[in-house]
Amino acid sequence: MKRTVLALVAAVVFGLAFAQPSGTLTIAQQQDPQSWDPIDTFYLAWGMIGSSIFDGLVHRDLNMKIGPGLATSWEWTDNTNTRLRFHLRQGVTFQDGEPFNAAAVKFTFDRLLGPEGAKGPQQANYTSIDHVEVVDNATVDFVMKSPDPVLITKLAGYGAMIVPPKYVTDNPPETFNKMPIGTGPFKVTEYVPDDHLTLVANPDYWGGAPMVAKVIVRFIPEPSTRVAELQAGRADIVQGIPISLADTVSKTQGVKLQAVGSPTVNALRFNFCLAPTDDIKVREAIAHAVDTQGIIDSILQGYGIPIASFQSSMSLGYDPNLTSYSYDPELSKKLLSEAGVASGTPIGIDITATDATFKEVAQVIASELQAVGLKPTIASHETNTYYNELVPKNTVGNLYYSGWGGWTLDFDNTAYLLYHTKQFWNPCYSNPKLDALLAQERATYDQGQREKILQQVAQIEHGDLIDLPLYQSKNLWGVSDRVQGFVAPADDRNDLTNVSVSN
Amino acid sequence: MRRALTDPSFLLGAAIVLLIMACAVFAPALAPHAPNVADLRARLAPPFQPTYVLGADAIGRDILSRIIFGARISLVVGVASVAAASIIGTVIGLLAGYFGGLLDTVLMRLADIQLAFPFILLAITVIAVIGPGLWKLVLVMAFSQWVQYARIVRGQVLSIRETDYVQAATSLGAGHGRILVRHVLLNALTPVMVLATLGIANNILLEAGLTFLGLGVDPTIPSWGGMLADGRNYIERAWWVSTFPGLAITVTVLGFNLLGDWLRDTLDPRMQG
Amino acid sequence: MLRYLVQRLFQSIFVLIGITLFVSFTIRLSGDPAVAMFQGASAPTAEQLATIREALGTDKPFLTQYASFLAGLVHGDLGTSFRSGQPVAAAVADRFPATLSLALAALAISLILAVPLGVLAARRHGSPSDLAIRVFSLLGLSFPNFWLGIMLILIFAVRLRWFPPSGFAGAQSLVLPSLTLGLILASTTTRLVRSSLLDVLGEQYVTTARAKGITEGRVLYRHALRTALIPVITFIGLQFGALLGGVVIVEQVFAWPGLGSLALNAISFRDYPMLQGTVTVLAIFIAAINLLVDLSYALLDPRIRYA
Repeated sequence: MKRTVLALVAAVVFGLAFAQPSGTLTIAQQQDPQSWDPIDTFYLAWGMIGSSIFDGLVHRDLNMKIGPGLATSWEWTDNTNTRLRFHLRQGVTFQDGEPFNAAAVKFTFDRLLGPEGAKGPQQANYTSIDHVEVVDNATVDFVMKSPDPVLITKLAGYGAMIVPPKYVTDNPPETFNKMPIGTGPFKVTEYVPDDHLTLVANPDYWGGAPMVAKVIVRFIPEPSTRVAELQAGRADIVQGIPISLADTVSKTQGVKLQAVGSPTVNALRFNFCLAPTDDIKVREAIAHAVDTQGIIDSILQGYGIPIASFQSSMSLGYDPNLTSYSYDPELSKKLLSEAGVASGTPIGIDITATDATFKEVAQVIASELQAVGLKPTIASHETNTYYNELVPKNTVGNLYYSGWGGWTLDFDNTAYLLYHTKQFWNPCYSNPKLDALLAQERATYDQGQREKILQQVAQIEHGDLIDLPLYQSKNLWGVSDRVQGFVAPADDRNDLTNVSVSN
Repeated sequence: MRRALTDPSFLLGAAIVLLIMACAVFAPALAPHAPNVADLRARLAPPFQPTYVLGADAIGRDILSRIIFGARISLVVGVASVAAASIIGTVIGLLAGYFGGLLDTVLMRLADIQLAFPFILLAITVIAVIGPGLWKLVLVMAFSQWVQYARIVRGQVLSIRETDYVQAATSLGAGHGRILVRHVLLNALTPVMVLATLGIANNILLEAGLTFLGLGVDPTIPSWGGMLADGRNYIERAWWVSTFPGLAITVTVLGFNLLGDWLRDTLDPRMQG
Repeated sequence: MLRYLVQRLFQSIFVLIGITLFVSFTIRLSGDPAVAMFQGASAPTAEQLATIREALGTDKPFLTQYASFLAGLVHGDLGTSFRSGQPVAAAVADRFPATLSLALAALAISLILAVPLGVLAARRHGSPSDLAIRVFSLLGLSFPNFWLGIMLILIFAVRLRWFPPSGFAGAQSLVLPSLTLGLILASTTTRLVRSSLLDVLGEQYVTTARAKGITEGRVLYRHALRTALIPVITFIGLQFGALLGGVVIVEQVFAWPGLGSLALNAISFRDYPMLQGTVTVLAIFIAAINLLVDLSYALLDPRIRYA
């Protein structure tokens, strides 16, 4: 009897000991976002860690479901859908001791929608909000300027992360960039740019203290070096395993490969202002010349999902009945000769420098285009130049890489920015019917109706052959067996609250 | 000439260089496959088999054929850029060293400006402006690499200018041109030769480095450096993808250097007799 | 000599102006930092761009921007990063030791290998050991630095676990990256030591020294080596620029937080002040090395005089 009591006591003591955060987790990721302020960044690299430092009013879990975050519930105040009321969680403090309350929410959105936010890429997503009003200490109202059916999802996005008013006001912007403070489960204690970021567990986190005491995030740009760190046992979680190294990681002892379908989609877009891709027959021919499934099976080793429109299967507007153009080289040749395209016609393909996998995909496509009598060349460009200069000014070739993160899981964002007349990245395509559909779906909160409209948009995209959708990416993560409870996130935003490490 | 034909290092060097040139010129006839036809079923096929003698790469292209065609790029990137840079550099170095004074100062400070900017950063910045491309790359290399030749030649000229035989020639009434060409140039050629052969290798490897950073030439045109850079993730799974292009580079470097050494030994007036 | 030094210093200022002018001009051709702030993720409006340009100062004419950069430079102020808002001088000062230690370690490795091997090959000119050394040096020339780095990581960090694969954390982490740079540099330096020593050994004044009865060893080290080292020193001076270029790629492979990665990110973000600041500091450093090289000629070769 005595022994049993002793054993029980020991178990309780051990249990309590394990309840304390313990151990150090080392994560290696590719990029250092260079600034931790949520409103001046769009990098996936920010989201990987930012979600552990900050919280939003709503939270998106690992299944991509929206649920309460710093707000426990919300509702429209009336039927006009102009005022959305949020009830805030009580007893939450920022990591510097400041209280989380309605004033903090107002401060955050005033900043996002004001001059500070104007300097960065996040503001444009939230312009449907007119302003935020404090109702009382635990309640805020979002007063809408225009309808925004994607608003709730966007409130889980970077720009809507709640920031501490006093800390931000009392310090110059560089301080907040370097040493951010939020309400999240981890607090930043050290940041050495391009080297590492150190996080420690926030024991007072409103969602429960995390299980791991310390997280060191290392920034390692070269993929083979990240994998080397995993193989050498010096990194526990590695982000961004290129497909070419997938087998190497799978075969390493003590390490597992996790593949997760991400909303990122990849396509080659057609240049409507450059012959011969200005001719729909030629675009059709090119679509039939490419063996997308073959590419997914071989180059992507199955780590890719075929898509018929430029959105992932998780996106609202995804139409499971839409099928991509079949792989039919003979039909392709026929269409090309019908269109009067001579054999050996040059086709320029432009890609970005950072995606090694897509470089291989592009080369396969070039080979397949050559097989139907075209003469493709590939040019690889630095990313910033590509998106800031070449694409908007349309100084690209006939086919150019088009990638989209799709974080809103809603086709609206993608379709509007890329297909609507005269948008920044749409220098050449214009279809009033498509523009009208987009205006329609933006005006209603009925998600069922929006889905149908967005599916129609996808059908126009498919029919006009604006682009050639290739595949939805699957992200590969390497995880050491020493780690428990880590599930690779679909949207690249790590949830480390349930992760623990053993020794 | 007869001596050359019996010198083994000359023979080896010349043979290699001729082989590379033959590959470049006769590539379509020599290569067993077309260099950029992808065959997804032959992806990463191992070497030492009849269809793919040196194996196939990540998208199923025959590596041997790509190596043969790759000789073209290597010759252009390596030789053309070095030829341009060394000619520009030698002329500038001769002028600066021989005439001295203000010309020397201005030219050498221009050289310093050029040198202070690491080539890779210059290349990335310039390529961001003018776009990627093979001949643009050659141009960037030529305009940033003349400096080493100029400085080496100038250094030699400074030394040689004071030697007995040049002073003797001047006192005998020989004109500037004659001295420059006969005595100074021939002596300065030696280190230039060594540098040039090193430069060919260096530029082939620089192209690999730029491909590593994502700014290489069109990947549909095979280049040894590009194959190496793109194959670096396959080292553990499929060693042949990067090893054979690497060997091609090594052999080429060897060939040019052996030739360069022989040329140096032959042309150096002090080594004769 | 002193007059020469002063002259060169004066000229160095012009060189510095030339470099910074060239850098500032070229990077401004590559794209608009205001647009780069939107990271290809959202489309900026004209008002947003105008506001940002005003805040960054990029709406002013080029020469005005350049003039304020120069004015700041005189006070040691290299401007403020467009991206992070940090003072550039502080960022560069933080990262300088990493790059410097890497460059110096690589240089040391290359000299420790190259001088003895080059001398040996020259002395045993034509022998099997000469051939072996020449072949070894050619091997070093045949690998791109990133490839050598990746191989060293694979062998010594992953398989053998003797050294860490990446990061700057103590002397242990310096070994693999400096070997990567140093081995490659050693190859070219070995060949140059050998070749220039061979040149000098045939010189008249060396044969004269031999005729005077001075022993071979003394001939070699006192007379020949000193002169032979001139092209080698020139080479090292030149190679410092190339070395720093190689550092850029090696810093990528080894996640080394130095000036190379700072510059690369700066180009990518169109962070003009950061790139200007980094290149200026590098340029000052390289110019100083070249000045030292030029001055050393007089010490090494008794025949070179300065008017």
